[in-house]
This record gives sequence, structure tokens and C-alpha cells, in this order.
Amino acid sequence: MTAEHVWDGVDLDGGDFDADFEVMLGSIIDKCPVAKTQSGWLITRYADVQACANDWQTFSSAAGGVMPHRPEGLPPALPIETDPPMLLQLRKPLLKRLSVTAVATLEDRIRAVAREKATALIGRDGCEALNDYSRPLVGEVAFGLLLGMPIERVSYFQRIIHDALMGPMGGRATAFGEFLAELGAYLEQRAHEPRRDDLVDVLLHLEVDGEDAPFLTKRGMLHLSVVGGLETTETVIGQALRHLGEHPDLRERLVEHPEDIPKAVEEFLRLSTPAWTLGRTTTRSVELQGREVAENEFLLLAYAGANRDPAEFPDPLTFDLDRPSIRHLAFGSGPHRCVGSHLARVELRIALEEFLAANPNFWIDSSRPITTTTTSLARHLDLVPLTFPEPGR
Amino acid sequence: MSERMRVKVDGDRCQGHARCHALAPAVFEVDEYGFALAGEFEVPVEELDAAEDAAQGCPERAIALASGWNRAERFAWR
Repeated sequence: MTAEHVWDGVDLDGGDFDADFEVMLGSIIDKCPVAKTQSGWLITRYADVQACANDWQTFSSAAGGVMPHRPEGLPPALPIETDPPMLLQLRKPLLKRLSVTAVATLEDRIRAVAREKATALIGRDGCEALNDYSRPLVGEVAFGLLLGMPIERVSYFQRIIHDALMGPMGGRATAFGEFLAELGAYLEQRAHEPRRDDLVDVLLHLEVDGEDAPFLTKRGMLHLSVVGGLETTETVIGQALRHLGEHPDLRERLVEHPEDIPKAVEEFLRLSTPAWTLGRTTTRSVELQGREVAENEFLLLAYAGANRDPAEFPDPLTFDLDRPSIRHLAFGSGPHRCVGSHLARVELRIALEEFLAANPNFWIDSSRPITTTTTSLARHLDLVPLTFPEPGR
Repeated sequence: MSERMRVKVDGDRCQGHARCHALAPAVFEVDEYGFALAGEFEVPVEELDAAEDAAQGCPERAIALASGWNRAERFAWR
């Protein structure tokens, strides 16, 4: 039977896709699992995504980068836009800095930041989950506790990154240029200051093949380190608070049983998957789901598709705390697995623990809209208005 | 379920997600980069459920379980 590629030509950067994300993605997984979209091939089923993510010889991250509609001439974001063996060499200092044990040493300080932001909301009649909680929390952890970048500049960087990745297509190259110039200037400045042993210092002293790394390599590493931890984590926290605001039973269960929060975090990760795709370029022609993909074609591995594949997650759109299998691909798979995943998990858990401890009662403020932005790369939550019951009730 | 179980961690598949360490900390150790210590070892009886969860939860399917002590017995990769 000839497949009827019903989703070929779909615009993943369009407003329709943003508004109807779950329905459209579900239909793509079901009816057209390898679709030729306006942003390249979209690979949506769990087994295919996982296989492609692990076959780096065929699906290269270096050849054409990982970003759809990548601005021409943009220097590579590192280490994500390299292939092994350079990939592992560049990842090692990050892996060490962001290991389970390294992240555990940050836990108390992450909790202090989360508690300060969560308790500041007590007594108010409501809040907006992103601007009032997850965005400043995630920004302060990334800049203050990990990178060693000035906290007062977090919101500037959050805005410019949003413009570069998710803003109007025509303005992205300019935003990237400004972003990289800022990062370069900061690296220059720090190179003349005493060492503080933060992640910026690790990158400043980065070596490649035993030699001091080129400046562009250091800046490329800082580029991804800054981008990686901001929009993604803040969206998952926002998505979790949104879901809890809509589902009081689950909210009450987690308030009474905070030990269930880590499992809930995995479901929130599965269902939000903010970096919902990442790109690859074929180094040879391949067949995927019966379709011929030529050499040197750009394709998107849809981690959000994998995480909604009913073959891997029965009844995929249902949040289920008791799922036996939670090997979701929100952090990817294979040699490019998200290097910040351990920090993200700790942040997500603590962010929810502290929010629920300080503000156990809340629901969605239905008088104000929840808004999202979706591009062919990322799915970002913009506004989640929450309302709190009167104090003492 | 057999009372005795062996577990095998494939170091070539492991990408350092460290889910095994989170789900069964008494069974799986991770190194300074977050990769699971590869190899084959016995799982204590009281850790069997946790080890099953870890094998099931590994996004790279790098953990296999086998019951009994017959080395020829195939590990079940998930």
C-alpha cells in the first residue's frame, strides 16, 4: 500500500501548529510518522527517534547543525553541533561539572533560591507561574550557582535567547549576533579576572587535544551552556504548575506525599519536552518508515513525538504517576544526551517541593489566557496565570 | 521471579542518564562523569524490584537482567 503522506508540507513554525500541538503531533505520529515538513524531515516515533539519535555516523550533528532554519554563518553551538570523537572530548568537562554528585552539592543553595521565590508569593491572591516563579528561579540557579554570570543580566539574556531561537524568523540572526557578542565580551572580561572556579572558568581553561582551546570553541561552549538551562527548565516547571492547577487531586496528593514528586517530574518532562526536536543531517541516503531520505538532508528528531508514541507510552496524553516505564526522551538519547539533565531534575523537584510547601492551594486563573510559543525546535510556555484562595481558607 | 538475579551494564550503550542510580542507588554506581559502572554482578534479593525498575527505566536499554547462575543463559535486554 502506498502511504499517503498526509502531513507533508506542514508548517511547524505556524500558529496552527502552536494552537493544536497535541492533536497535530498525535496525528503525525499515527498517520505520517516520517513527514516532510517545511523545516525538514520530522521523525516522530520512539523507536526511530532513538535509533537515529544513536546512529551519529549516519545522522550527523556537525554537518548541518541541530537547529532548523539555522541562520547562515552562525558559529556552532558546542558541544551539540559536533560529532564523536570531538563531542566526548568537549562534553567531559561539562559532564564532570554537571554529574549527579556535583549537582547534589548545589542542592541546598538551589533550595534556598526556590524557597525565597516561593515564600515571596505567600499572601498574594495569585501569580504568573513563569514570570513570578520559574523564570527568575531557573535564571538565578543557572547564572548564580553554575555559570558564574551576573544575575542582574539574566532577564536580558532570557529575552535575547528567546528572540534568537523563537522570535520572528527575520530577526533571529541579529539576535544571535548580539547574544554571541555579549558572551564574547564577558569571556574577555573574565579572562583578566581572578579565577572563581565556576563554569565560565572551566570554559576559559578548556583544552582541546591538550592545547588551550580556540576562543570560538570556548564561546560556542558558553553559548550552549547559557541557552541549555534557561527556556527549557522554566517551561517544564511552568507546565507542571499548570497541570497541578488544573488537577487538584494530583496537587493534593503531591502536597501530602512529596516523595511522589520525582515520579511526577518524569511525567512532566515526558509531556512537556520543551526542546521538542533537535536536528541532524544525513551523511548517506537512508530508508525510514518506508520513505527514502537522501544524503545531506536535514531532519528533526521529535523527542516530543517519541514521548507521545502510544507504542511506548499507552494512552500517551494521560498524566500517569504509576506508569511502569518512564524512559522518556525529553533529554534525548545517544551521545548527545542532555548534559544538564541531572541539574534539571534536581531543579524541577526542588522547585515543585518548595512551591507546594509554600503555596499548597492554587488553581488556574481562567480569566486570563495560558499562552505558548511553538517553533520547529522548541515549545515554550509564556504565561500561566494562577490564583490563590484567600489567606486562611 | 527467581530469588537470585544477575545484572549486566553495557558500558558501550550507557550515556550517563544515571536513571539506574536514581531508581536503584544500592545496585548501580556512577563514575565522576555520571556513567554507570559497567560489568556484571549479583543483585541482592531486597533490591530486585529496584533493579527491575532501573532496567526498565534506562533510556539507552543498557541494563540487562538474568535470573539464575548459568552463565550461558541469555541476558534479557529491554
